[in-house]
Amino acid sequence: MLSKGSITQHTVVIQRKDIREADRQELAKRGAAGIAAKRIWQRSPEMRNGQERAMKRIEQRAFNPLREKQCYNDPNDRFIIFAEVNSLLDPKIAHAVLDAALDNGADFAELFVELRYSTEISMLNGKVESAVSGTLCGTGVRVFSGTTSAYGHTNDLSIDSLSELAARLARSTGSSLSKRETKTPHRPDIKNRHMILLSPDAVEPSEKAAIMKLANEGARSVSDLVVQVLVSYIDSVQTVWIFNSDGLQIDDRRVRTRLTIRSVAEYEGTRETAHYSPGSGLGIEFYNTFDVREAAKRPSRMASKMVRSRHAPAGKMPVVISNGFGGVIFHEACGHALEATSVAKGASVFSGKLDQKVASECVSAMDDPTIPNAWGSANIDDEGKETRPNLLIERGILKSYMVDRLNGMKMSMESTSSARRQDYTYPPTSRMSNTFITAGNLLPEEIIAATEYGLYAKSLGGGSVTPSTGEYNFAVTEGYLIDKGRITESVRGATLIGKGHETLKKIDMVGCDLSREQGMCGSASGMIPADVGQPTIRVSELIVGGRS
Amino acid sequence: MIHADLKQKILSLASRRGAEMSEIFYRSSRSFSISAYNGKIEKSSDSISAGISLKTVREGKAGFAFTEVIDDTHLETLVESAIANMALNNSDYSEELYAGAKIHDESSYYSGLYEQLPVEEPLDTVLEMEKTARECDPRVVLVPESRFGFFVTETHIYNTLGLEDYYREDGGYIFVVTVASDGKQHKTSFAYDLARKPESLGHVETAKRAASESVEKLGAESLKSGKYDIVIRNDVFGSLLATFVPTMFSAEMVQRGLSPIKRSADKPIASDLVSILDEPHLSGSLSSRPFDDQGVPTRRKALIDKGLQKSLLYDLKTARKDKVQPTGNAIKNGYKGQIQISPINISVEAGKYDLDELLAKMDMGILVTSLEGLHSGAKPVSGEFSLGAQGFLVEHGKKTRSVEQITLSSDILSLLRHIQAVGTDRVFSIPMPRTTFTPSVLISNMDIAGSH
Repeated sequence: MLSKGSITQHTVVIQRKDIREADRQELAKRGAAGIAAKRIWQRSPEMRNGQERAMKRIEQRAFNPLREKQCYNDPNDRFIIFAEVNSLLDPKIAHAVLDAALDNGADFAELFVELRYSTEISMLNGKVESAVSGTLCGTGVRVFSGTTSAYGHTNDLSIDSLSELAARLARSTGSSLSKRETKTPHRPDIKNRHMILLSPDAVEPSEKAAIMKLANEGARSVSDLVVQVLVSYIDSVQTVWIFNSDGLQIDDRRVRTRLTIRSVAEYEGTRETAHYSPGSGLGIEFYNTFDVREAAKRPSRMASKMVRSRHAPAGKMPVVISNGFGGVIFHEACGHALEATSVAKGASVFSGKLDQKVASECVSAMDDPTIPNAWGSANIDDEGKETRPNLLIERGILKSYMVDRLNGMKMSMESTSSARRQDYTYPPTSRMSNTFITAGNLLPEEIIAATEYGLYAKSLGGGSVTPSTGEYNFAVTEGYLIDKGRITESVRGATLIGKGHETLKKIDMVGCDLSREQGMCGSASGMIPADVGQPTIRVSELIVGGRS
Repeated sequence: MIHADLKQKILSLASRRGAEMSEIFYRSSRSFSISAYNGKIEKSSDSISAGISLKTVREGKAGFAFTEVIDDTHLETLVESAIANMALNNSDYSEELYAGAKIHDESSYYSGLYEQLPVEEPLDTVLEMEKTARECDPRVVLVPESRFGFFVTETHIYNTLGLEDYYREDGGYIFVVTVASDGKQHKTSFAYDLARKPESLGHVETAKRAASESVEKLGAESLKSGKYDIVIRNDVFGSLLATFVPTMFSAEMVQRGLSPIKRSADKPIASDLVSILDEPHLSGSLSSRPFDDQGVPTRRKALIDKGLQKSLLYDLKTARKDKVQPTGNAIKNGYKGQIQISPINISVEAGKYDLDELLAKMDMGILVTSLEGLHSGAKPVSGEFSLGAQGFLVEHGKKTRSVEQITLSSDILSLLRHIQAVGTDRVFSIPMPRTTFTPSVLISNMDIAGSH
């Protein structure tokens, strides 16, 4: 059940209403709407200076999530807003709950307290079809006895409810022999790498809709074949507090925002859809880092090109996979099978392969949750450990898995700070963050020129994998045939399939044009934001699921 | 349930802030699961969640908000956000609320038996299921997951038109994953069972099914690309329909031109052997329910009858637009989700042949036992798909060897048109998120890509 009054949120807002009034006046003066006007200010020199000043001020105030201070400024730097969010759960209560778990036989206990504000807006052909805002709030309790674990969550944050849950979970795991005690609380000092200027929860939904309108205009401007444009917008401001029986007490704030533009093109009774979904761990300022209208043309170009294309051919052939979302091939073919969730049980094709050659020498790959404000980044993982870059494959040699605490115990390995979860309703497990093949030195043009015949997969959709057999699939959403080293005609989508451990050895060319794109990754601990990425690569042979 | 005072407080606050009508949706649920691995309990979970969402309507425009925190500050936020979101809405649709009220017999959705299970029973079930799977065949090398779980959910809807409705449901499932190896190849398989009552769960049979299927898959090879006749196994046909039917028959998608079909009565769109229904009260399904998430009573309807297109699926706003009655198909993913139009249980009428007879009838072709990449390789708007597949080569009506690394490419309408025979072996799927109740089907002339 829901509880009353357990939240101690204390917000100091300086002249917040006046800011909006000032914004409105500014907008009226410039005759543009919402963020559109902000984008204009962004480009002006005084605006840029303003933003730099604001960043400095934030730094001077030693902005640190561990001190429970959140701070953001309005874009023209006339005001600074402080919102102070105290822990949802009094640390004393947290420790009493952890004690209840240890008293009942657990040898480790952990609390994950979460408060999340989110917005979701969808627009069809420029009209807002629906808008939803929400507050998610609850606590997940996890206990271990040896490597047996139990998990429970509740929205009731009262000490009685949480202690009862903790005790019940501890009893269900069977008691450990030695009685343990919760260690003295400590807070590691961790630098915040992910600065936010304009937190989405401080921005009116109408301004978000204005950004969406820009996208709609851009997508509409490309071709008469585009019959429908769907734009959706999501953001979330997630604050987490993690406590464990080792005395860890830490918190983090993750801000995310994403725009999805989906265009539907129709040609002679055939319909084709394409989408583009840029997202970020920035605040609303993300939409100042690129031209939204221009970016929204991409799915329209794709859909109107693909709708006039014939189906991709079927069979085995060389495939050149473009940079950016092309990295979904590594995510599926290898990434999931390197997660300790499958490796610990020996249920991965890469189990027991550390320091062995698993890929061709031109392949090196990273999982890096520390990239500032990236979609899959965070200061700490969802077990409260400071994140760090993780080199997975170096010149074809397997160097590391992605490991969480529980699977680490089973594998006798240290956690690599890879524990993630959708929200407090899931126990964390090892997951990817921002995962990519690192840059090689070939130009993408050289790779295509070196290919006699094959498929050029310019744009990719999602995919999936079975880690125990390595069998994976992912969708090509924009494809072209390569003939004698040249790109020729465009071909409609096909799925590409293969076995990860075989495919990694068939990557024979790696380009220099590394880029990352955003995806949602679904696995044991729910749906989480994750970046995929790579430079242009070539796989010497893959099965293309086209039509004969 | 939520207290009457609280309900009143939210509704009157919404009205003071300018809503003409408003509706509260409340759901609470308990979910329990336990898993065994290597002869021991590996993990368990036991959780409770609850929350409310608010829909406000003014001049036909709706706004939504939800919260899991019920205190004065968050209730204010809830109402304010819904009102702000309502102001933003400029959809062509005219939103409304449902006024009817119904009394339901909850015995078909709720037994209370799962929560009364003795503590040891789930433990014994998962341990025995793992043991059975392991001992079934020496080639079963790993049972990564052997799980039992159940849920209990309560749903309430109240609105200012006087609707006040409630139902409770519970149900349980078992699930087992096996990995088999012959030293050269690994193959994995899973099997599940689900039931409203615990005694109906067959864990021994489920474990044997997963184990024998993973073993049977060993020795797999790809095929030559080309056109093949195929039999799609019952559960796999279910997952294919669950991917396409919701979009195809959603009145909203049809009205927006985002469905592969148009609104039309009695137009032939499938083989005349095919009848597809939405049957919301099937007793074997864990998705069955008395009313939808707008409070409209659910009812049985044909989507395709002997190959002819019949009803679409409607919520309130789309029914109003087409000047028809809502069909009780407004579904959301709890209080956090937005309304989507969806069938409750997609069922396909049984045909005449069991699986062996279908294979005999096909003579030469492929039995498809798994399709992969439905979330990415299928395009519900156009109906096209290109998917990874596994199965068995069928020669002279018999399975001769395991097949892997192939793809199946077609579009849903031509697949439905090419159905040559329908099976009798109907089976329920896991609600992910829609339940299907489907037989195996024989389809001619499908595009298969393989290794050469």
